[in-house]
Amino acid sequence: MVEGRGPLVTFDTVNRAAVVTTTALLAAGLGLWLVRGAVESQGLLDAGLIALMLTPVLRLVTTLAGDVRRRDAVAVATTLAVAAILGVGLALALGR
Amino acid sequence: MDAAHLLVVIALGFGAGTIGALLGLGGGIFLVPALTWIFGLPVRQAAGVGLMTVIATSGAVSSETVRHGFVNTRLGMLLLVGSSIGGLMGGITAQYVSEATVALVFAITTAAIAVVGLLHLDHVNVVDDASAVPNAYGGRFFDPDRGREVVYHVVRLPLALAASVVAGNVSGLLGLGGGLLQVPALNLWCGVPIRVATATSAFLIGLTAVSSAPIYFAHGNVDAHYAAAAVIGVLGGARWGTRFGAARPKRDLKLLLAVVLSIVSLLMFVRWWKVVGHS
Repeated sequence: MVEGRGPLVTFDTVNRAAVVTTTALLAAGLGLWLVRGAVESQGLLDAGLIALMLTPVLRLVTTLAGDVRRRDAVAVATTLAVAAILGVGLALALGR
Repeated sequence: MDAAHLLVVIALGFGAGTIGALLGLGGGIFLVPALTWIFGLPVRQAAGVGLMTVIATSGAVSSETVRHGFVNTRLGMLLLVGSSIGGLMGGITAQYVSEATVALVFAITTAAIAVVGLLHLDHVNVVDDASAVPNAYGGRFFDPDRGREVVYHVVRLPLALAASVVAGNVSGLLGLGGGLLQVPALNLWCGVPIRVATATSAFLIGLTAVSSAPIYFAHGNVDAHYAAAAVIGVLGGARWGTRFGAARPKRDLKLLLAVVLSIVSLLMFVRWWKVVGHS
């Protein structure tokens, strides 16, 4: 499916920024762990993993933005349904 | 963990990322047992690391494949609804069907799909007319095999949805990614070219994994050092795998998919055998 240039650029930019940020944080964390030890590197590693987990969420948001920009009502509804299902599933699991 | 272990984990991640990029799979089925057997990581910790690598594979592959038009987000989101429903139904299935039965059925199914895939290595899903208009869930992309833009139509959508429901259901029960069933089903029976099927699957697996990864993380079931090393390996492997895959003929990707399905089938037979043997 070829999307409009706008949503594609947004998606690509956001996704790349998230991947680069994740890689930088995790690499810095591992480097610090090798040089200074586990305690001092923990914050960077945790930040890297949190940034990693945010990547798909950002992808979902940019996909939704692309659907809205294309005025594709079915796609918007489907993407919102996915977001709702994932959100409810996560909330239920965390609440256990 | 020391520096030598770190390098081994990065290498394992590189392998998982490569497989993930080439076939749209998470790679967890190989990485999780490896972390358990080689490093003695508890299964839950290994699964937590596995989920992180699935998210990394998805992110790395998506940034490359979306630009090429390989990812069909419209179809993907619809299939994700199906797999999510299947996942939610996993609890119901678990009450009526034993793990051994699910493993056996999965083993037979993946073996059958591998054989069908091998018999249809040269099956073509694209329309040889760039001016054709794709149907509702179809699309167009630049096909490296033909060196030009091609069009495809998605057919048997109910079958694709059914495959997604089953994939979501089984993945929860057996701890596997749904891509193993979705990718061949989309390619063999629903008119989706292999490059689009694998890229769309890679796009989806990150979204599926992120619904459970925070739980593992919040409960302390993700060892940050193993996860960081594996993720860095995966990001490198996925990047390399995406470029390597784009340069390979689609026939090679289908052959690799059949091989991986055969290995998974064998692993599931062993799992069934062990469960039956101990009961």
